[in-house]
Amino acid sequence: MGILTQQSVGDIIYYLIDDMAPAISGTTGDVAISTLGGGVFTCDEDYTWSPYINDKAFGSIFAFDHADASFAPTTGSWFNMNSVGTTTTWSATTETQGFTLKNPTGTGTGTAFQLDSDRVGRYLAMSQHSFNGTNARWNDFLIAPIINNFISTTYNGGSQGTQNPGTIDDVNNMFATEIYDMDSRDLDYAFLSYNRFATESAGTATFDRRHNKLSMMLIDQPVIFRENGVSEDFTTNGWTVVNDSTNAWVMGTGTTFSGGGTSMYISDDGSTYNYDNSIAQVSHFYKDITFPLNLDSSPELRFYYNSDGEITFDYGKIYFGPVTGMTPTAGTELANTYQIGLNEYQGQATFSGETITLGSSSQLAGETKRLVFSWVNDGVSGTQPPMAIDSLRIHFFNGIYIAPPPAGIDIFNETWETGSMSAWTVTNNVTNQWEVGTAVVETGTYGVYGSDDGGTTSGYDASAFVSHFYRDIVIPSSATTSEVTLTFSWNCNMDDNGAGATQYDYGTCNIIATGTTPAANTEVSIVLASAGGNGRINQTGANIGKFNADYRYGGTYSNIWFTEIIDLSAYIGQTKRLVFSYKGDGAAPQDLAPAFAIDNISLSYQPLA
Amino acid sequence: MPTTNLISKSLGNILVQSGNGAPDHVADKGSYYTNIDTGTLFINIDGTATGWGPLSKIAYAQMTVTDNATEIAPGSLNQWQSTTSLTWVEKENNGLTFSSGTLKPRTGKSGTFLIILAGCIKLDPSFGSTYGYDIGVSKTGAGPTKDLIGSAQVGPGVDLASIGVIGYITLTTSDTISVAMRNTTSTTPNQLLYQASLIMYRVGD
Repeated sequence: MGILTQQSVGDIIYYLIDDMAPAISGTTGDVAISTLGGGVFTCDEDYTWSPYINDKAFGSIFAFDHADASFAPTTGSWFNMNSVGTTTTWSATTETQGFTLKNPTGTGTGTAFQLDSDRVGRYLAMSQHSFNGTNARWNDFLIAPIINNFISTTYNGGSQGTQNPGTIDDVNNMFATEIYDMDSRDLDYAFLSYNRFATESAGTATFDRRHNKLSMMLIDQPVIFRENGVSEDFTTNGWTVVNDSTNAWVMGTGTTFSGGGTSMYISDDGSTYNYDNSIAQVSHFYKDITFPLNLDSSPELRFYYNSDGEITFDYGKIYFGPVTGMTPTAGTELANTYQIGLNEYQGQATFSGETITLGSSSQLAGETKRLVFSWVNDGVSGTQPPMAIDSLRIHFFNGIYIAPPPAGIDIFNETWETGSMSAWTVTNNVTNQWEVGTAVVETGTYGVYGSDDGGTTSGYDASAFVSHFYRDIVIPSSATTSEVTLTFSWNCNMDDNGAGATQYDYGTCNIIATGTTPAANTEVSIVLASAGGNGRINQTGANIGKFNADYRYGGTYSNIWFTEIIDLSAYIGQTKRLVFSYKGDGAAPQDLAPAFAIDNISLSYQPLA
Repeated sequence: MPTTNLISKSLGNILVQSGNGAPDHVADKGSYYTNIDTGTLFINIDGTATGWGPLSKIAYAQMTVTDNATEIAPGSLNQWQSTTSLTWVEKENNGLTFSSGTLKPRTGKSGTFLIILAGCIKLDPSFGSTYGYDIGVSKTGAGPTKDLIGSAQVGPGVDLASIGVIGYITLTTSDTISVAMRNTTSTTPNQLLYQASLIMYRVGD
């Protein structure tokens, strides 16, 4: 991976690369063309590259017919513009490119955008709507574009009818705008929708729809690892199949989402979309995926699946984790440690779309991860069909790519691979203690984590506690013109008690004076450090320096590693004490695992270019 | 500024070129030219000196706010008030920096942006008169210019009104964009920005 060839043109260089994006220390104006992702990039400054957009897609659909709509919407419900009142005639403007009109289920004709096949991307949507109230009063009447029946949680156009509007001409206007991701293979479509929130008078609202328009424009296209693309060939695209004796993953035409091409599905005879539910089977297919070093957005896994089976007993599962230690074998389910998506993919007798965010850009940049699809059935009973996967792809959006600068100068590295914390001092609670062990590890054999059983597992008990480990660090004054960076990986699934300011159990990273000894069961600081000062030093200020995956990122992040990068340039020339702590408040729930875990700490400084 | 220091190499039937300034020279159709002053890449579509067009360097972002409770004191009549104290949320972003209700171009992403602001204002029903408000797009904290202001009126019968603003603005990497409001008929009541969405999309250097 890297530069295939390069050609100087005066002061600039054209690079042909086989990375998804350039990881080159270029100069302003250099051009890079990716043979892997097809993207074109120019260098803005020494290490920073910008992508360009290639395709165009834009246009409008509109209706201008004064159609009456009469409805009494429920608070919080959304209504397709064409699903209430007199059917409105919608048209596309002649300037429209990259779209066709679509008829969403249960609505009138030609009421929505649908993308052409090659216009997947991020769209700017703008809508306008004018109406004339003719009967009742309504409040908080909102409008928003809808994509594939999904409405954003933010609605930006709102207006309101008037009392006794039938006696006056009372035209109101609404305007809304959003940015949406649309995928033509999802059969995504966009249309306008009404919502009526609080009402001040009960009953049906009738209004005259004057003019409705939805305009969309393609503004960004993703880089896509696509498996069911032109070739639709999982085999030649590097997937490995590990099949049990009978119910096996096959690529074929037994079922497909889009009605053409092929899909991956379970078959008990090598071609028919059917499984034998009388014998216990576990089959897998998987692939290792390397993400760009300079990844700048969160990759998403998208696919369509069918999978009926049987709840608890016959189902599909998906895993995404490290290459080492996650090798599927026929007849055996993988541990749930790295399971993603639904707990079981079953009870779905027709194709349904699924989108799973695989992690943040900082977690996945430069990483190679293994993606595994598994089919499991217990051999007692079950309903056809088994699992099928189609239109599988991983995509992310090109951002600003910052190539890695020259290698920095390490102040220290800590990987725990000696199996010891001898370079650190520990002040522990009597039960909940920092331990070196193998229970929670990002890379290698050992990690350090909070444990209440001597390191066998990671966790904590019902007592209120704080435990620390620390060492003194010297950031040399020779780093005067440098950038000093503390990097470490962390993993924490302690009790977050929901998002907000009431988080109870968490980890912290602190800078304190060297003369201060952290005391067990007492936090060393509770505020963020000012530049060059003492306090918690992670820079996500809204989290008040707390490390807890559920709290910080939402959702369930059991055993997910995150990378923290903290700029310590303000401490140049100082000697400080670096302290990692984990804290429990003693209130239930406890023993959510893992407790705070730390791996791969490095402190380095980087000479500026 | 005309092209200077032009350096050119042939690549089949096209040229790949670099120089200072925007291109204004004849080159084969399909040729590429890089302005090394800005790093912008151009392509020639017709083989003439005026057939150059810049490729679109991607930069856009969206921030939104939904707040049915937090009121902002209007100060004096027609005095712009910042809305950055509201809880703005960053949505899709590529090439800009979001911070506390502001957006700023990152390195290499300065230039001219399309600005689209959609929002609605709300009035406490206890006020029995009609009041006018403006919403505008502020550059680096200054009062919005006339081309980036929208107006609406709310009163006893219509206490929720939609406002849209569309325009263009040129930004450097040190400029920030935010949303401001002002009262235009009275210093009461307070301002209530019920919902808003600000989208920026880079359209040129």
